[in-house]
Amino acid sequence: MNTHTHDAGRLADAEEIIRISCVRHTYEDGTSVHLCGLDFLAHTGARVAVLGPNGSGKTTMLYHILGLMKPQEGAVTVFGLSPSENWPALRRRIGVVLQNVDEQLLAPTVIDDVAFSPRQYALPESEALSRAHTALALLGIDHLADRVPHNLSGGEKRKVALAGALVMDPELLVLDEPFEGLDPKSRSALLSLLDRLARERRMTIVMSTHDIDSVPEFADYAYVLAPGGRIALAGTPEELFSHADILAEGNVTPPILAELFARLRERDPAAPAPALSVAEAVEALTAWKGCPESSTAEVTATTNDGA
Amino acid sequence: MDVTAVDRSAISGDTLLHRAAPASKLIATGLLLGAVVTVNDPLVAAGVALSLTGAGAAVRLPLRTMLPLALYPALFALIFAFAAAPGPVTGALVVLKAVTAALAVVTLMFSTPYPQVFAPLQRVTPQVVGDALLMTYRSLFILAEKFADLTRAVRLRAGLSARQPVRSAKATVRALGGLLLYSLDLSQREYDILYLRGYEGGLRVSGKRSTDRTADTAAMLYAALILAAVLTFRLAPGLRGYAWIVTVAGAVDLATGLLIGRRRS
Repeated sequence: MNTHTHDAGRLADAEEIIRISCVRHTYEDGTSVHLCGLDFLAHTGARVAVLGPNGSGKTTMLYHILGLMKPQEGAVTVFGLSPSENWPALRRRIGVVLQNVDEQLLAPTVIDDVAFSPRQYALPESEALSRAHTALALLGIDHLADRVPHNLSGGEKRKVALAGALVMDPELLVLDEPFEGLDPKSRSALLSLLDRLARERRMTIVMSTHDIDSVPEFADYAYVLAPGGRIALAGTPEELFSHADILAEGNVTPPILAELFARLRERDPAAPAPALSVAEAVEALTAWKGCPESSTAEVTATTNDGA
Repeated sequence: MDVTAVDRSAISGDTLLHRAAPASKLIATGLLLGAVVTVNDPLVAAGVALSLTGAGAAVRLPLRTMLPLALYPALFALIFAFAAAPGPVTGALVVLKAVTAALAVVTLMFSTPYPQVFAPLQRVTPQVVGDALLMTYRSLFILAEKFADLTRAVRLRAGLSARQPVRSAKATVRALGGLLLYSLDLSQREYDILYLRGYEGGLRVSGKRSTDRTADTAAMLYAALILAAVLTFRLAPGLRGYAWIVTVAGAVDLATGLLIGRRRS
């Protein structure tokens, strides 16, 4: 499983892919989302998480990135262009999995669905099929190729949708709640895949999520939206989860490990700094308690196996 | 109508007809519909219907699901026949024509995925019509699932009760209203998805090739023989007295088809 190793070298001098500056969107019912406070930025190869309570504007933010909404105020640029005005020029570079994957699967069989975009871009049929099979293999679901999408489980549908998003080998992947409906094993496999895509292909990944525990494992950088869309906080997961007060404003509960370490610090200022993975926590706690090295290694190994 | 049963049979089935190219099956269906339009004797029409059922049985299509669907039009044709047919013979012909035409189309739909049926139509219809036909496919399943969820929710919340028909009807109408609003919303979201996934007008469906040339030839030859028989009886009024032969031949086809189907199972 991926742990939160933030590779500074990988992201150094990275090109800016997305910038959202003070965007406002008012829905027909009068609800207004004002994505302001801080600029939202994503760079090449970065894995960026967007956190926030229901109705805080996470999906609105993603829809602006995808050009499905046009900012009434402020600006959105993706690869230096406004997505709402230049989507046809951008879409081959962007893969998308929206929250309701059921509505994203359009074709009669899984292979046809994954091959949908290559066919729309008029690639030769052999290439469209080859790309589709590669994308299915990447997700370990090539055995589903001839299945009918509406007979798949929720998790399988999500993987098929993700294969459809990856089939054009995009530079930017936008995921809206990608862990919904996935069992722990699939969730862990997806986290590893996203990590691999970011590292090996320098794919930029933007993900909105309620799954707070996935953030330290997934994200290089994260944004917290407060109700109404204000970008309340931005930083690495370590930075983010050390601001429990601001997180609370956004109705975001820190991961259980971050909370544990914060409470330990309240009781004892000598307690170690927050660790966000089980392995780090074991090391920090054993070091703090002065346990012998051998038992530390043993505990770490056991915990890693368990994780 | 269980749309999922049709879809499951069309996509997952592995009969001789499934192996034929959609184009061959469309041509065969066209020939059969031509025969239905041409036929002017109820005994010949009955023979064609029996033979078609036998062919379905021989290749092991799910007849138990297919036949009720093919018989739906008989109800409406019966009403029309009672109201407008000059005599029982014409009335029987009207009903048999409706059933045979439905049987031909149902056989096509049970052996060919929906998009493959409509892809050729897409080439000859305005783009928006062709795309709408193809998009109906997924929307139908999403809406069917949504309606099942709504009905379940209404039932669980005691909205449906045999003792309270008026209340049940109101609850069902409200659920349908909700479904209508949902479908409007869904159409926007589906369009968004298409747009995000590369749609610029003109959905592209890959043509499915035949995996069995014999199946192509058999399907088209069978339909051509049916049309030829019907045309013969139509063009030679002297043969009218022998129309029962076609009915008997159809019955033999049905018996043989059932036997072959049983042996294959």
